[in-house]
Amino acid sequence: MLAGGYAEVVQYQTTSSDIALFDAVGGEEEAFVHSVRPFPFHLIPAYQPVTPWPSTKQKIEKDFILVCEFSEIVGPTALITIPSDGGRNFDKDMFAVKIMAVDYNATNMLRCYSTFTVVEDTSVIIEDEENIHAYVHHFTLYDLHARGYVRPFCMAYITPDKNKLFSYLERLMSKFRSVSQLFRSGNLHLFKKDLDCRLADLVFTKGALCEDVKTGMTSDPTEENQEDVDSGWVDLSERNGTCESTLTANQRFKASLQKIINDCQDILKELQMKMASFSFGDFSRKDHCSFLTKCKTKELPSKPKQCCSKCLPYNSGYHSDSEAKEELKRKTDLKQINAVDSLIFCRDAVVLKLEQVESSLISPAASLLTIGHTVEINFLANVNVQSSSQSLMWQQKRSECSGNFLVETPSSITSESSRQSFPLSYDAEFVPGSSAGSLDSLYYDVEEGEDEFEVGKFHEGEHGSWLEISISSDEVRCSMDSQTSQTLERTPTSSFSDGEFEELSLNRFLGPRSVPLTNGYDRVGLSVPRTSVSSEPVVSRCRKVPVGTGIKSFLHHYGFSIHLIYALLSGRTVVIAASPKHEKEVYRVIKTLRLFVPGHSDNQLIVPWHTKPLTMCDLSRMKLVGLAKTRSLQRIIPSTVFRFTTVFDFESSTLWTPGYKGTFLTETLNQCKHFHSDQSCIAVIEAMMISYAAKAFTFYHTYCLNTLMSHSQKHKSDNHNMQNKLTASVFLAKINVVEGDAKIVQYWVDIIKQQQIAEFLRQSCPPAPVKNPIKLDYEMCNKYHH
Amino acid sequence: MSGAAELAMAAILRKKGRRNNKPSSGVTQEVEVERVPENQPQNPFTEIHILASHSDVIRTIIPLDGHRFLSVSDDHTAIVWSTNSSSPLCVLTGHTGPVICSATMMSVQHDEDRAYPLKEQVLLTGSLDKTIRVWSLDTGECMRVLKDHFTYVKVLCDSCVENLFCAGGTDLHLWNLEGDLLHTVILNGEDISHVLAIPHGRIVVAAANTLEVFKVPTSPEILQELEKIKKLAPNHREMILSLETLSGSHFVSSSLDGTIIIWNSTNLTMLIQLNHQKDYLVNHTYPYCVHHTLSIDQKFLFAAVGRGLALYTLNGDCIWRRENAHHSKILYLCLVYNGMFLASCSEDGSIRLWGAVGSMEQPTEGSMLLHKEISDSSLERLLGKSVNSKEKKRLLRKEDKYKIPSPVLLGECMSHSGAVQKVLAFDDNTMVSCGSDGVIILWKDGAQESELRNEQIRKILHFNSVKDEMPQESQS
Repeated sequence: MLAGGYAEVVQYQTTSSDIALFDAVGGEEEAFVHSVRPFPFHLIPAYQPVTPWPSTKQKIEKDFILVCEFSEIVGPTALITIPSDGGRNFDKDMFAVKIMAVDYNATNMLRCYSTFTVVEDTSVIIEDEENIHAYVHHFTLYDLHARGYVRPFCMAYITPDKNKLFSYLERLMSKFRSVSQLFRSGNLHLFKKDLDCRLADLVFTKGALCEDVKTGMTSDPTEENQEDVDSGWVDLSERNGTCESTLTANQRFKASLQKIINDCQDILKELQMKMASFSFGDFSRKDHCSFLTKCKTKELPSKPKQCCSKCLPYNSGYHSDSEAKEELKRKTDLKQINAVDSLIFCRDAVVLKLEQVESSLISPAASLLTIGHTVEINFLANVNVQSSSQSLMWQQKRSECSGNFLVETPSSITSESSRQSFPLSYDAEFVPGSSAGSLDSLYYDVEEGEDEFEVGKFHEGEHGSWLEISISSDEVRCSMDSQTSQTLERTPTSSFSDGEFEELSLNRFLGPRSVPLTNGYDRVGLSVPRTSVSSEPVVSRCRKVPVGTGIKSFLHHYGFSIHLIYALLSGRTVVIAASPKHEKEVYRVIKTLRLFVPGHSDNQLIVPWHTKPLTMCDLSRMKLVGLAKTRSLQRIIPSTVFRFTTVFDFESSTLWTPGYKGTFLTETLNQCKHFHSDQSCIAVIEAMMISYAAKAFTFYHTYCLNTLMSHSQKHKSDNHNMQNKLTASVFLAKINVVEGDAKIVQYWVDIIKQQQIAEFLRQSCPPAPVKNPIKLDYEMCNKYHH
Repeated sequence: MSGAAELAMAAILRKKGRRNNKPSSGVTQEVEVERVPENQPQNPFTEIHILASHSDVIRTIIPLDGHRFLSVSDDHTAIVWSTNSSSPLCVLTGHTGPVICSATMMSVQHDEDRAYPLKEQVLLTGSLDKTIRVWSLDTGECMRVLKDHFTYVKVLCDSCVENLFCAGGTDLHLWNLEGDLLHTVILNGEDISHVLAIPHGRIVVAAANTLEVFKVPTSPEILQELEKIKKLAPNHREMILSLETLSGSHFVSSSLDGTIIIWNSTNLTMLIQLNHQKDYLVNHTYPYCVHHTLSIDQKFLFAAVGRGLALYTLNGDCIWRRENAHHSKILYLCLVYNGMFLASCSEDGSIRLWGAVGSMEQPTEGSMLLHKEISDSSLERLLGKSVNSKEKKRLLRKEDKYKIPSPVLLGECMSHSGAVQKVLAFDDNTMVSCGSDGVIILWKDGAQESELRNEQIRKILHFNSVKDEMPQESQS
């Protein structure tokens, strides 16, 4: 709730500041009108200056990237937008005219001084009175057939949020620069190749011409003798005259040819210099060669960009260039540009800001407690934990140790932003390379909103493979075809978080081809973090439906929900068994209950639909399972497993679980009764969780990390001290945590401890496998009926 | 059976509302199996690790030292495990058939350069591929493959004589660790089921229902042959199921018909016959079969009789009996958790913990962390401290020594999905069980593990060292 309020305030401030700090390019008068606000209504002048652009109130809801070209036929045109549906209600062509109106190629030396130079990129920030702000990056590609050999392009990042643009300008600039670098390096290679061909042509023509001139001098008469047997000698002098003129013309032409050749060579020289200065990065030589030959032989499939081919005045050269561009794009830019958008795309500046502020609290990830994928508290925040390479031990100053509370309520982040990410600062020393089981999974969700699910269903149709979504990740990996496995390459083997896993299985079922059909933008955006190197920030996916939706009705509907929630919070595996026809309902319940699943380990904590009988091994990783019930409950849950799980039979509304004895949950749920919306309920629950997380924090630092209570010390000290020994439960009772609540707090602390040990083992050499033990709770189950 | 014991037992049985012993066969099915106490507050095993590295049936597990054990499996491998880790320490591969038996022994190498002989613990594994392999425990390397066995290797046993061991299949073989087959004894055609080394360099060999004793050559000078000493009499009526050492001077054998015979290992005569069914009829459910016996304090003997448990003295008195301890036959008995519990594992897939009626409100979980006076006697530890040494002496004088508190069911460990074949106990209070479901489960005290993790984290975060440095800092 706190952070939610904070977010709102920031939102207000930014929007209001947006109004105050306008930068209108429309003219001084308008600027004046706005700057002297607030005017009383009657004082506002009737006259409104007209902008030269059509004043259709253009609106953009989401940020997008626009790539335009200065076409020689129709002038500036928009080529593509990223995402493909970006700026739907926005006149992109008009905007292209606006941003490309400046002929920055006027500086092109070829035209001014008739020498060729490769121009550098330029970038400019355009701010519109229509609340459209753009960072525009101009770059030029070279084409032998284009006017002045240049084809100006520009990429623009368009956003309605000015603050955001400015705060992330640096990052945008560097990203755009690297994209254009890739474009240009490929283009220059191609251009050089074309030039080489042209030069060879010219040299050949010149040689032929010289030959022609020579033979014209000597062999002309004989030719004419043969040809003009019947014409007689009448025209001889006349012919001699024309011959003379042709000769001079030829010589003139030869001279100009020589000049062109020289130009050509100059350009080549310049190019070579330029290209030497380029570093091609991952764009390897070999790649490039194959791509060039492809262009030459025109093996490429037909271009998808119609607008592109429409405005092409030349055939071969242009085609190859545009194809080159396409090819280049395919190779590079999607990755690159999307790397840009994934950072800041479609995310509110407020969220970005919040995230930036809070990111420091998230590290070290191993000591972060999350419940329902909501960050609760970091047990070792701001602790100077440095990993020394030799001992793999962490030095730390205890005095610095302090607790930092951090909330991300759905109101601030989940609902407003559709995309979560972690800033670069995330990879702190504690978690080099942002390993699995840390934060990648924090914002990955099991469910990708309702519609993803629907899409999967829709495409699946009858055979309903979605049911098999809970097969183990290894199986998925094995069955991956080459295309999808490519995206997996960089994924750490153990990092299959719930979300990823689901996405992959969906991918598999839909087939890689159909992926762009469903939600191209999302998909593309999603694939970014996995292909990017570990230094890239971790980007998570949209969460269209916030966690815990439907909690109010769930609490209302099931009187025993308190026991169920207790089971989740205390780490007991909760199984929701239902016949396959209720799969969707179970899915919804799981989405609601996910609010109470602590931890963000790399294990599959939440399995929306499991079709095999449960085994004891499953209990170690699964905490919330939707289970397909075929015929009887006993068939899918063996009695041994049944004893250690909480089983919720969905159809009969029956629950088997140890009863909750404690105060915390009772209090929380009582408070919830006073609120009528899911949002406020969730806020209450999360506030309460934090208060309990604070207890866990106390327990962790005062009891678990207290050396006075260390095991080894106990042995040394004498019997009298033994009597005073503080057990965990006694300690918890002292901080007013008893019975069921003690189990909750202990489980939360256990999660932290396991995360820390797992992290330590992962860093040790060789990395030791991490296996979590299965906790057995012998408490008897009670049967609750709705 | 002394009168006092009889009375005590009768009282116990009355109190528990159990029938008297020796019911007719098959009737036991009707009797309700004892229920586990609600919430099992005294069950310390609240945390398990499931070791599922074997892909086939696990034949047996044997302890190697305080924290390591070996499992052999039909998947042709043997795995060395540690109770501290849920992943294998070492996987021994090489056999081409199911590995069904194993033993551990000391390899002693006399070196003239050294004053002391070089000792190394080695592992022996016997397989249905008719070979025996000798492994180094330190490196996991296969040191030797013994191929001259010619029959399936079903039993391996350290002979207690330096570098000699016995292997049994259809015949009995004597090997040395160099890989030389020293001697082969052809028995009566029955497969050997058990071999037990007893004092004075002798071994007892059980094949079907007979027991024979052989002398192992003790010095290299004499003929390296197994010398038959005696065929023990009387024979068991049915197949021998277990052969265990009871004390320095006694060993015990038990069979399918329920008879338990205690033998004197010096003069090789029968000391006493226990649980002997007088009017024995062959019943193929074998309700009294004794799969395992467990000796305590060299004076007492726990026996798994069918589905029940019994405690005998060497005099032959049955001082405690629980007939329906499990739903199905009990396969193995072991003292676990520092001797505080008797664990009985059964075909019904459960391990039940028996012990003293402790203070129920005090959970046992983590109790090992508290100081606990270690009793001299295992039985006392198991059954509580009610009999301290002074009292014991007094009781002994009054010949009232068998009036012991009776063990009660304290907990049930259920996680296997098949019969639990064997249970081992380790120094760190870990209990290891192996089941027919192909998994090994480590049972740990959750509270103790939690403390260990605390310590580990303190170590990781250098809290301990910080604390050591602290006083100096604060002074300055």
